[in-house]
Amino acid sequence: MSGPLLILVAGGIVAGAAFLLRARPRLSFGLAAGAGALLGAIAIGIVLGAPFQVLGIGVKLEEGWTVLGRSLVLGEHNRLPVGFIFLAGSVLLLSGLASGASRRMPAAGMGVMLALAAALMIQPFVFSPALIASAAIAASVILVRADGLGGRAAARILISYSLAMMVMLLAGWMIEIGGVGAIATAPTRPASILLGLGLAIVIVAPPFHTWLTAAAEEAHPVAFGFTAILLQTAGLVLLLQSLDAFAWMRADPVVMELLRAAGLLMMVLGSIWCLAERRAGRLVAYALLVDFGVSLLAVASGTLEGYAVALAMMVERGLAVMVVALGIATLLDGSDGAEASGPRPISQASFAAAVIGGLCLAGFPLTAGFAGRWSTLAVLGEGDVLAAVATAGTIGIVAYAFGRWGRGVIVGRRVQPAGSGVLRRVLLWSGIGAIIVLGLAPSILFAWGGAVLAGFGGLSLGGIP
Amino acid sequence: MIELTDLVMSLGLLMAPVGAAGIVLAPTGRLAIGMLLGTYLGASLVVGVGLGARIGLGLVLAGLVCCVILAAGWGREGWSPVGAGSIPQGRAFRLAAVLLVSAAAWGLSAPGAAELLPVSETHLASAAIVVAMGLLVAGLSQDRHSGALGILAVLAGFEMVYVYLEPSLAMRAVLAAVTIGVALAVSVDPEGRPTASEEERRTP
Repeated sequence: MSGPLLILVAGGIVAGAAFLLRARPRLSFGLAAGAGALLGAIAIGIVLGAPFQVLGIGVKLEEGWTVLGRSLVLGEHNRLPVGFIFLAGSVLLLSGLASGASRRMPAAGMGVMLALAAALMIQPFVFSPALIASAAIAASVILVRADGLGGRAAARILISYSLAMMVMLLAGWMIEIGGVGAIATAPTRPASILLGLGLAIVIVAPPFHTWLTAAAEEAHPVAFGFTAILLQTAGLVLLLQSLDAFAWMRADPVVMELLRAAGLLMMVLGSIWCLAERRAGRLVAYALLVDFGVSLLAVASGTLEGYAVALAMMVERGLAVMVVALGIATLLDGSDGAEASGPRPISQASFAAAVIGGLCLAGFPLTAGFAGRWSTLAVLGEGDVLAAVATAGTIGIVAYAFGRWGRGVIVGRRVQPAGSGVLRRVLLWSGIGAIIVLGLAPSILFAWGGAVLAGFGGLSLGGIP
Repeated sequence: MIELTDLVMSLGLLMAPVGAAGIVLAPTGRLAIGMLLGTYLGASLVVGVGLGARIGLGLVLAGLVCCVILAAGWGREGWSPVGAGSIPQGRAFRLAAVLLVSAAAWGLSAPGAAELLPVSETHLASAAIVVAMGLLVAGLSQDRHSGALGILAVLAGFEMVYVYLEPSLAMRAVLAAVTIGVALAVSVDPEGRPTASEEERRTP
């Protein structure tokens, strides 16, 4: 038995069961979330390559599984990102249960997690875009409008990720099979351009973000958050895997300059759009662009500290999106107190979660999001005035946009201490607590980032002199 | 004297782009799906002659399954391409389409690109037309059905070339899964009806 096979088979069975149980949302969501958490724990903690005992039975799980001539490998280099995909997914599935998300979500969500886990495990990794595209296809099923139809988001995500897959597979062929080596000579330029285009799509850089905004407008907030966080995480890991594997990419100053430019573009455009936006979902989508832009700035520093910051920020981003999406979902669905006459009251927890989650995405001080921005600036150094101004400016603009939105929601409404649903309250308050705790003790985030980075051996080698 | 394999290859090279162009022009959903099947059939003839009947059969089977799924799913909805959706208005989406199509055009016309690929110029041109027609279908409408037909045609055109670059069974299986996955995602409603909260949800 091998680790990847165990994860994929067990996850596949759970996805099938969740589909069959879709008429009973509590069961299907609970099953998928529980299994996701278990698979995440297995990916992170299980012993691989050595025998161990479970209930007195000797078990040995191998790291690799070869299928149809390709290998799926779960090892030290990828077990933390794979675990993160499952753990973040399971928390978002619980949030979906707590906020009445679509019954499609458990089965399709498990499909997304499995496809992304396979994408992170496949060797050589240049074939992972096909699996990321598969994850996007599964995600398109949950990005539906309130009337149950597909809307624009489903078509856009299908088109974007299918095209990304094609250009990246071609780039992969040029690099791996077409004989383009590690030296940055002429043939690498077409490969770099194709790879860069594909990466731009999977990290959702403008103008390839249109599915994100369409999904934010049409889909349930938690389904949107689930898709955005998991696909962006896979995009970031794929970017780091590319830098890890190809010394010519690390050595090429143009690549780092392009990453920096993309990061700044995402920050500037995202914050301008935030300023112009008053709808909650799209505000989150634009704030996500800004936050990911900061991560790209950290990566563009080309230092190990920068990579670790980017990886730490993926945890912060996942937490913030879970909290803000659940807060917005419960504010929107009206189940917090629709019985009252006049303007509908809103629950303290939902409102606090939506605003504090938004402030965390903005990188406001005392939230987990601030630590990522501060560390990015520290990595870039004091001389990088442009990055410092952009970072400070975007914190102010995005925080203002969320504050303005919160004011619009709360004015004229009664705030009641608690909304309905124990699970919802537990998730909301624990999420808010985690944002504040990680804001006060960000070393936890960076320890995680450092641990994930330890799996990327090539990054520590630097570029070709 | 023309050999049978050359004849079949030529037929495939003609049938694939004609089928893809037919998707753009088809007035009914059924005809559009039939044209997509024609595209896959053409692509599979090209691939089958060049790399072996089994690979060609695999491609046409994936296309057939995909078309059956589309026909079953969309038949219930009574979808028709005429009047479905509209030309996407979003500037960002159009900019993304411009960049992607430009990259595809650049990739195919770049000096030395044809030499790099192990296929003939006619083969490359046929695949490029299929990809271009697919992008046209996807770009003409923001309706998800048209988007799916377009992206499936693009995938067929892509496979016509990519299978020569990476003929491994694993990639064939993954690309077939992607093809069928796209068809399933736009055809099958695993839930039936939206939840009550979805129906009630309103933008504040």
